[in-house]
Amino acid sequence: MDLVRDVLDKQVLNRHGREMGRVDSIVLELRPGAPPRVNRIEIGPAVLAARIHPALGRWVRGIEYALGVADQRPVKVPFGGILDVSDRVKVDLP
Amino acid sequence: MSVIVDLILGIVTSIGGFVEVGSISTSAQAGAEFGFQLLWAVAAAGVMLAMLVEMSGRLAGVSKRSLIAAVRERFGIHFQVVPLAAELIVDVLLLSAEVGGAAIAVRLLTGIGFQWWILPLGLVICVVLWTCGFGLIEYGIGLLGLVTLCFVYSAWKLGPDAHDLAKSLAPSLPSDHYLRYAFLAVSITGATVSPYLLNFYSSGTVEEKLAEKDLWVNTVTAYFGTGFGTIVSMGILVSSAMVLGPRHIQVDSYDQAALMLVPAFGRWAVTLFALSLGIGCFGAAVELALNSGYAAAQVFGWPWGANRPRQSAPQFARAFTAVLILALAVALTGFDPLRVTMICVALTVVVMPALVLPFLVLMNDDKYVKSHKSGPLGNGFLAVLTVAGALMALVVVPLEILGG
Repeated sequence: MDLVRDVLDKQVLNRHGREMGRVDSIVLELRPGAPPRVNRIEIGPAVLAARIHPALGRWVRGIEYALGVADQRPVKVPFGGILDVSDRVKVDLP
Repeated sequence: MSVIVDLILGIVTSIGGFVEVGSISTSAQAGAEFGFQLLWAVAAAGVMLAMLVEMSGRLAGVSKRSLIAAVRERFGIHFQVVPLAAELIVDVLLLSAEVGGAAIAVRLLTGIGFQWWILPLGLVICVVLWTCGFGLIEYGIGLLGLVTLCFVYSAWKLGPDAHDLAKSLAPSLPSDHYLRYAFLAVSITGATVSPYLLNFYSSGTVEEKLAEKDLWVNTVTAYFGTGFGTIVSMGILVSSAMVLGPRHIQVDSYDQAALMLVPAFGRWAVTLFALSLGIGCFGAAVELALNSGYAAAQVFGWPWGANRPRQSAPQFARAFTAVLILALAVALTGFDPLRVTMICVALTVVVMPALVLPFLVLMNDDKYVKSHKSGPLGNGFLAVLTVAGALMALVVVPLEILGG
């Protein structure tokens, strides 16, 4: 599987099949003497904005704080919580 | 049977929903200043739009994704961010111009200053957005928009020379005012091939759950609906050329443009023009606001859909409401809607290459269109349009300054 081609930016569905965002970021874990491993995927506008430019990410994060939604974002889905990857990514979240 | 009804409704409402502030302004100015000579630009822009709309519908019908969603997935956010931001800026400006156009239409009917109508119209648009499903928005406004056929009747009644009309379908150079001519030709393209139309159409195709086996409905609707809609734009240009041109009336305001219907409709001319302008602008405003909601929700992967209860797609509803409020704020600054429209069509042309280029890839990608890929004709058209779009994008700003 090609992570950028097949996972990044794909639609994420929760366990009930409802849209809950896109794969805005993939966090890899670096291990000494072993290949990197997918730790989690992240979903949220600030993470997406940070991919464009870190300053933009901080700015969007500030807006999330101002709106009082910063606690819920970004949504972090550990690797074990990914149920299926096809043309959409299904995760084990309510 | 329902497919046939959908087909007929789709074509009829495409005609009714074709004309809005951009097409009225550019066609009226082109006719008043250059006679029939820019008819080819209206025809060419119509062909471009029909082909792009067909492709947007085919992409959505097969992949079950809107254009913006497909671009995000296939190209990533880095490719998408600049054209998307530009599209949203154009959407806000154009939405303010459409509300302004609708307000001017009400002013023509009531005599009360157009600024007073901006907030009431904004409120009506908001109610429509929050309460109506996609079908009611698309078909209701499209059917009311059939009043714009008065421009076609007017052109027919004026009896233009068929040979002159046919000759104008081939590009030719004017005797003078080259820059103005080039600016209007490019502006007609910008006013017709609006980016919001393509994503709105593809989102609608997803909402209406077009089946892959019914793709022919999309093809027929795209070509016939856009084709007949283009005839309405041509009706504006011809009426303007035959009524305003000989009297040396330049279209600096919508009041002057309304005069083009006087020979055909007499004392009903202003009323019919106002209804056409008002319904066209109101419909486009609703579609633009809705498309902003679509765009935001599709980029971020949130639930979206005009057919869903708004409570089940809260971010989508908040996004279109926020864009509407922003556009109303712009409209209330006291701008001239006609001027903002001309700026919007120029900006649309700047965005055009980034809009067309993804089609070349998406319409040839098995993952998105399976066996319904574009043939050599479609690909050739897109390649030519990408190059032509890039050239137009380079020249449109200088043309806006020198000839706008």
